[in-house]
Amino acid sequence: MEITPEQKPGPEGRSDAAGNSLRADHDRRQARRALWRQRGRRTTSGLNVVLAVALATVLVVMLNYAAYRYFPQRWDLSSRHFFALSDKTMNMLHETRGEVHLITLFESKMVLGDEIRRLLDAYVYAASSINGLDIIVESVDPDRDLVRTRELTETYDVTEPNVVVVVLGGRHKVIADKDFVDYERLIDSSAMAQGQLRVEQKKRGFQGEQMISSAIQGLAQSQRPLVYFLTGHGERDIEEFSKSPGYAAIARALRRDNMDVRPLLLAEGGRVPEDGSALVIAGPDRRLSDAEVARIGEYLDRSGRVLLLTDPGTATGLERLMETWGVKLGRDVVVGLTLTGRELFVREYGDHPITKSLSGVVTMFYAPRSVEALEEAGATERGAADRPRVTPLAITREGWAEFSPGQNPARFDEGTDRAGPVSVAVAVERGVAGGLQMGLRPTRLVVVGDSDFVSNGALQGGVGGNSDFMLNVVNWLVDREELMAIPAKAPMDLRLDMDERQARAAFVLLTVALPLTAAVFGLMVWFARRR
Amino acid sequence: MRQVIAIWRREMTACFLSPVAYVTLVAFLGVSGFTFWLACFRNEGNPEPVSVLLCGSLMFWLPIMITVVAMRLFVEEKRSGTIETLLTAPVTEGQIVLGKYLGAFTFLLLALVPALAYPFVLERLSPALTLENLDLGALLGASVVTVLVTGTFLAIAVVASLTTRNQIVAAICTFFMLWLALLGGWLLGESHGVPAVLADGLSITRHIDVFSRGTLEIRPIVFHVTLTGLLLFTAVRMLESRRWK
Repeated sequence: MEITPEQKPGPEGRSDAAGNSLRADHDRRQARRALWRQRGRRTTSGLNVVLAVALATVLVVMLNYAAYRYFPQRWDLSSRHFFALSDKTMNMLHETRGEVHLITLFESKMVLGDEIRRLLDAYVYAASSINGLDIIVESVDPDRDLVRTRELTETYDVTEPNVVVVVLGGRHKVIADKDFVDYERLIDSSAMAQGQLRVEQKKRGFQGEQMISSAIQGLAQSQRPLVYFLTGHGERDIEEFSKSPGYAAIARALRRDNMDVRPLLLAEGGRVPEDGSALVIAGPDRRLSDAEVARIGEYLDRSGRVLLLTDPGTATGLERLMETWGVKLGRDVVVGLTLTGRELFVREYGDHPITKSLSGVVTMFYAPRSVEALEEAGATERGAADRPRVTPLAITREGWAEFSPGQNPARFDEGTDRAGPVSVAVAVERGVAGGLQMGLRPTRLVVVGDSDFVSNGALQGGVGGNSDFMLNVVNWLVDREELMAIPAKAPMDLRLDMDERQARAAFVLLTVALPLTAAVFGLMVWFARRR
Repeated sequence: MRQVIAIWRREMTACFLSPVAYVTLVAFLGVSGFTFWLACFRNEGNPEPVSVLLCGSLMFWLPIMITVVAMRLFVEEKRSGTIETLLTAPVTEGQIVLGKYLGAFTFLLLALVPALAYPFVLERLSPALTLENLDLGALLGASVVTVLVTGTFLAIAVVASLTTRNQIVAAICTFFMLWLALLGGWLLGESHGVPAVLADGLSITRHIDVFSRGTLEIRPIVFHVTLTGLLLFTAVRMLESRRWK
């Protein structure tokens, strides 16, 4: 505080004024010191809190890191165990080594996205306890991550969104979203009577585990199976893109299933190459030479794997060889109750690894020939244990074996035609008896009485089971059937089925009765306190 | 421990005698019951477990409930000046924070218990819903995650309550932080790269989804317990720092 000249004391009061001034200065200094002390205490206590909390945060981060790194344990308490992996998958994962990348390319509106992500999470968790196996999941949104989507398109031949790419050891497999669901395909018979084909799809199960495990198992195999397609006798061309005869679509599906596909001209090489995992003879319309038939026979005897797709009305020279393997190729056309009679819908399958996942799925054949087991197949030549075991794969009960192919419209002629059940595809296996493998590698042969059912046109306009049937056949031939049998998990959709009265009662109980009980309790407390 | 129990009892009594708490409880049960009823009817035919719908219905309204219950915890003491009495009483700051936290936590748990009856009400009335469909294991998982998240959220609210003298400010801060915790975790889960990896451990929405489907994991339990401990420790230090100011 300043002292003006008017306020200046006289000589007699000079010492008092100086004393007051000194005291005031002293008080000011004291107050300033107290203020600084208070500020200092606040800053120190603030710093103390910040430091203590920072140290505690470090401790918490360390604890969480340790839990994340070393304690991945989880327990599935649910009664459905929907995302629990089967023993088959766990065994397969224990035998797998390396780094598995699971890349999801899902649009945000994709229905199954969450289910599939939860399943992949179960794989990551399973791998966390297996030494030498690392499973990494990457989620890519094709609408947002354009650069990564382009990379995936170029690297993994991805042409559509909503797929899972499984990558292991430089090999990959692309699984489309529709493959994750097991659909029951029902043909609308009223529409069919009007000449229209209408197929209703009903979701029957989630087969995500089957798809992912099969893909990992297939990729873990040291080599990609090589499938040869025989050429030189008018067979279907795997490079042909035209709708009717072309086989480019199924060849592509096989490549996406992690197989190599190559044409083979048997007349040149002498014998079926050793590096081949299977030989496909797809719809030859000319005879094979005796030498070629003999080589195919030799190949089968060497535990070979052959798929023969043969159309009615063609003589390929393989008929006799098939008979030695217990298969009879009918000289007929199997027709069904469709308007044209040309399409044959098969819904019944034999009990076989190939058809385990096809229950309820319709496969559409185009005027096939009957393919059935010969009775007492090879019994005279071979012992019972070494006898080929023939299993019907696709059977029609409503259709019949028509012996007058020119008849239009086709009708069942008693005495001439043969009524169903008629088989149009069989699987043959030799070297396995009573479930025991007799040799190192069994011979496997599948014969289908139609080659049109997996042509480009059939796969584009077919009912969906055709491609699955063919892929299952080839997978069985190349020994990849083990995981095909993981059953699909039935979806437990929320069902209430309440009528209007029940729904109203639920509304009243949930939104009125329970809160009202709490309100009554509160009022009782209020009244008790007032008293 | 006696001091903690005394404070816990005092806090519980305050909650059960407060009309605000009852209004909140009635409103919470009403809106969460309605949300659950609506969710069940809208998801009929979809593969959504009842436990997930129940957990979602509760979690949607839980931040409001916690905000209302917790906003007065320390703010009321500060406003009425009783905080000084409490701090000079023969109790430590840790005991005060723990007692108050446990009191509010017990009230919240008791408020959540009637909500457990929702699925069983539906089961009694629906001809298609059975105890097997309800999946008691998944309901247990949903209950565990609800308790964990409630504990963490309440600890956040306790810290928010210590930062201000105004109940409205405390409520806004708490509500904002709770929704940030929920939405932040969801955004982490939706992102890619490092945030997506962090989401595995930090996303509360992910924990809710996993647990309510019946899977119990150690990592989220550790996360919620340690985070709650850290927040309560922060609250203790903040209360202690008042002595030095």
